[in-house]
Amino acid sequence: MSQETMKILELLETGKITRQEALELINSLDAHRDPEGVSPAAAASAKRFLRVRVDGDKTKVNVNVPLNLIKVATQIADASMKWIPQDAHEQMKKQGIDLSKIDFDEIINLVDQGLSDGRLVDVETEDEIDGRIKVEVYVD
Amino acid sequence: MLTKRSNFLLVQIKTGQGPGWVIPLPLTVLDVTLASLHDCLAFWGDLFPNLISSKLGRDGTKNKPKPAELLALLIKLINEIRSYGSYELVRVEDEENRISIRLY
Repeated sequence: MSQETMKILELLETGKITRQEALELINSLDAHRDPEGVSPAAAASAKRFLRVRVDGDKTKVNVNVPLNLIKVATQIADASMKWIPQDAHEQMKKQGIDLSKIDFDEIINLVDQGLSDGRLVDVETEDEIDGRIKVEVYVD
Repeated sequence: MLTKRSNFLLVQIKTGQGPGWVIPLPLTVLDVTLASLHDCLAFWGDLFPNLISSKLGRDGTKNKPKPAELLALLIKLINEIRSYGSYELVRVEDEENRISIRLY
């Protein structure tokens, strides 16, 4: 069930809208979905990429990772946490790393919604050996 | 849904003045191979649980991962990588070397 539908149901439950209004809103949402049931907003989000660009005098790096791929990777990482042996967990905790406190959903939410212009990192520096280096990390 | 699925992953490695390497990886074949391997591991893993066991979770972790589960996650990741059509995943180059991974 989409977030929009959940919101409509919440409004209906709290009595802010009538049953008829809820039905009209849900029908309106359905009309905006494509035949496979994906809303335009969800489709646009699915096409977004996390891009890492390093543009230096000597080195160039170009990484394009689909945002949804990161979401799947974090789901996998989240699922894999239960397989880490207990003694490894304890050793990491001793070094100040508590994997159970990592909130993957929150990380994705921050990347997905928290950036109005989609720019995470934009740094430019100059080095005597490597020359000028510009690093950009952004979502588009 | 979005675009057509990519069928090839092309790894290009060029070092120094040489012609470099091009490694094409047919993702369709990889997909089918991994799916078959997953089915085999799931079948034999259920039949002989102690015969096929992962090295992970040897310390008595309750949630000991099954190799088939690990493979299922890998298949899921590859499916996701394929679902964006043609794009360049990674390109790293300096004055002499260049490595690129592209999907077609």
